[in-house]
Amino acid sequence: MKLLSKINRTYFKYGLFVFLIADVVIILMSNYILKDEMDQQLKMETEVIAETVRREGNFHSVYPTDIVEKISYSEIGIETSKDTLLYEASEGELTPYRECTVYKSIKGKHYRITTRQMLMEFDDIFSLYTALISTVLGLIFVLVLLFTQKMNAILWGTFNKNVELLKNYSFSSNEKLQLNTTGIDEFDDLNQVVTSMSNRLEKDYRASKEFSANAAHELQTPLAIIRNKCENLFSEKNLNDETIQSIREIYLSTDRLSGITKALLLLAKIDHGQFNDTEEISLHQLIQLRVENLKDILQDRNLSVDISAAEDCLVKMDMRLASLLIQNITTNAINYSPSSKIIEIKIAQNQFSISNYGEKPIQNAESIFNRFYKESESSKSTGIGLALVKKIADHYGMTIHYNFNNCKHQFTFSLSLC
Amino acid sequence: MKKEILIIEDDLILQKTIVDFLENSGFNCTKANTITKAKEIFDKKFYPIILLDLGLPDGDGLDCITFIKSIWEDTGVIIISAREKLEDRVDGLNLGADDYLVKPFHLSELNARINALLRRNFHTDKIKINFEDIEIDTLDRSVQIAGEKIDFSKKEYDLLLYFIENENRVLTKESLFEHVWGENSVFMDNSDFIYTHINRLRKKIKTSTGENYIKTVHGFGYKLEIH
Repeated sequence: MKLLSKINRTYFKYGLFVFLIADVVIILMSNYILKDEMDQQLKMETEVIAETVRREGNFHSVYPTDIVEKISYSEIGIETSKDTLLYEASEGELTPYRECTVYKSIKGKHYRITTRQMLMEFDDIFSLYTALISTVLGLIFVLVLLFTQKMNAILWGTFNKNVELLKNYSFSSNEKLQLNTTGIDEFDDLNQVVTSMSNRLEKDYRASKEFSANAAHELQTPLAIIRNKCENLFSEKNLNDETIQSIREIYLSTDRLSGITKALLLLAKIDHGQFNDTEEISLHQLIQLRVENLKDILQDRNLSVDISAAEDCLVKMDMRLASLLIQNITTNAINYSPSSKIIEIKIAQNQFSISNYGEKPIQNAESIFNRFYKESESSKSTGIGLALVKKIADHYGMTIHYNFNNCKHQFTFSLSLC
Repeated sequence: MKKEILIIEDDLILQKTIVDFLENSGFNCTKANTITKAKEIFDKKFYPIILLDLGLPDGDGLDCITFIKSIWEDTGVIIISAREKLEDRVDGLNLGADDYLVKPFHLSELNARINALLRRNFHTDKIKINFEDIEIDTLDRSVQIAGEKIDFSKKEYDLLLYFIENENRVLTKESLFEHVWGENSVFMDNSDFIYTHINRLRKKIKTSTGENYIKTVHGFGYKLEIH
């Protein structure tokens, strides 16, 4: 939730609460004030009536508002003001009245003078005030809203600019993160923390990038030496079997080591976004080319590749990564396919799949894309080919789905449609 | 007249290994382990082939290429580097290098690349390659045995040429697989594959010459030699 809507929401909640209290308080107060006012009014009216009685000797009562009754001395009571209900014939119901009763002795006669005034019904008062308060509060609310928006634009403007800067900030670009000063202490503190954090991260990032590049590169020269020394040893005469076996193993391990470091470096480089020359690539063509290059190997294992393309699958990728992806999934299929079987490649719009025969489904399908995961102890795989495939797929937002049916391992790649 | 090769590589052991190998193959080698030294050397003398490492102590070998080519247009530059070709956005080939070998490479592969480059740049050089009564014409990629033209498939031709250029040297299955089929054995199993193809080649040669020149070197690979 945006801060402003959060503020508005809270404001609204409390506003409603305040409004209810205010409503009740105002109604009670106005009730009290009105009655007080009315009592005085009624009191004055009794004085006026008493005056009339004194002047003219009698008073023509008007029911129910102005009534003068002659009473005996014993009936004289104290002045009262109270609420009362009278039956109103015209309305056919009881109506609330305020009444004021005074006792006067004029020229030796005793009178009870009662004045009454109809009270507005409580409901009416309530609705009147509620409407009034709502209007006023609504007006205040709108004004405050406008005001906070204005404030927000002023206060948060720089902050929002900085957020944009952060959104567009990446390590791969060589630009340093430069946040604008907002002039607000809290924001500036945040800027400082973020800036120093990003500097630290950037340093770590560069270090790790350097490390992976150095590790991979610097290893290759000694590996080249080992490999070449082994090659020279191959030509030696009179080696015994054990030595031959040892040299061969050293030689093969060197190859493996070199392959693994190169693949790891590739993984790191993809992560670091070093392959970002995008072009539109026809996967159909790329796959056909790859299969053509594998012709001899396929023939040798008596494998055939069946490519069916309903439509071409066009992708926007870095050519090098696209080739790597196709290379690795085809290699994988060939390595794991039993001989004399068919490898099926299906291409459709935004989707392609490759499947090869197998005896049983992969046990830990979710792990096969993990680096150095090997399905079986004996398998000769480096455990990195599929990790590369996954990395490239992730890099371009493709999803990979594995399933096994009719004795076929199938990997389906779906392009993200955005 | 021996062919001259200048090797620019800062790792002295690797440098020596390459030099020993190439001297054995009949080349004359000059060594340099920095760009500065290398510049002094090729300033004075023409080398048909320069092997160039990229990560050198006093700079990047890539900066050398244009410089070399500006002095000796005909010099063939082969980059030997740990950097993968595909990693370099502007790789050496765009800067005018003629070939690119990624470390760790097979020495037999290096040898084949050097010969191919010499043939490309100096057309008089070893257009026809002979081994006993086998003659390979590298221009039209044809093979004649005892004066008779024999049909060889592209891959068989590549294999045979590779063997003849590396005569008396053991070639491993891995290096054959990489040289001829461009596949890395680390990622693809080649166990019977190479064997099948070698056998086919042997048969072809044996049919025409009655000889089996390609020997199996137990545990290592194959080599071409005369008994």
